[in-house]
Amino acid sequence: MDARNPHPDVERRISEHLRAIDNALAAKGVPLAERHSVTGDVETQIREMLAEQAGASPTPADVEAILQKLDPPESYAEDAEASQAEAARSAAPPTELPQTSGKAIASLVLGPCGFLCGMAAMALSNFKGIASAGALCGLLGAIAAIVGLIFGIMALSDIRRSGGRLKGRGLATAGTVISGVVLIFLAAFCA
Amino acid sequence: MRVWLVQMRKGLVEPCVLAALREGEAYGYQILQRLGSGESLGISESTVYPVLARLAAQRLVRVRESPSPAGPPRRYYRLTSAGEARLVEMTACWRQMASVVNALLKEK
Repeated sequence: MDARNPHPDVERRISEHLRAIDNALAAKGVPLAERHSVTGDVETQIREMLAEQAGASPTPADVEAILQKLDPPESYAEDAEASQAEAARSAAPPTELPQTSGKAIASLVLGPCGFLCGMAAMALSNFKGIASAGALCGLLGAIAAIVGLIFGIMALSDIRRSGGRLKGRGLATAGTVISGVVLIFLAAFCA
Repeated sequence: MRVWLVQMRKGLVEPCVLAALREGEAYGYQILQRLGSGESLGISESTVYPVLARLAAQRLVRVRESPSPAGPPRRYYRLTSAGEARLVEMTACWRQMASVVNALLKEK
């Protein structure tokens, strides 16, 4: 082919075909360097086929005949899709169901325990002679409420940072609030 | 094209392309011709060229550009030592798989 004076339509059809391939690959997120490599290889092939089949001065019809034999640009997207899906699958962590935070459950158990201990402490303190048992209950309740409050707050922060791998925000909130309220009441009762 | 056929071919493209380069460097269209594009394996350029680009990105093949009589410079691909090692690995894997699959598919 006369490289210095190619038929304008021949050049236009080749660029169109290469651009369509580039677009198909780009749409599937194939990096620029790989796209260049692919379109360069395709262009080399088109030029060689033209030289083999049409000789020195190819006509637009020659190009059309060759482009007909080649894979359509969309098929590049299909190939990229398959390998992309593969890459995504191997990169993704194994899918696991979100787990309920153990700390959230502990908080929701300890908060009401503290409440029951506090109620027992208030009841027992009315009876002379077993007031020390009431004090002990109050102490236990206070400890349960403090630990429940700590676990609740830790659970809330764990859940927030887990990015969906931990659930139980409602449990943790309830545990934190109940533990906090119990602690405030116990403090007021002691004072 | 039938989905199962595409799936069945997919894994074979990389070992075939690497094997085509064992006899020496080649540019994309030559590799396609070495693979006997068309009937035999049914692997065509829309599969081979993207695989070459990926193999180059993984440093399993090295690319050398050389001026061409017409059009853009030809991109010659050559196996790197990592590519040769991968080809040996893939060959062993294929032999083992092929013998098991052949035994399973053998008609009584």
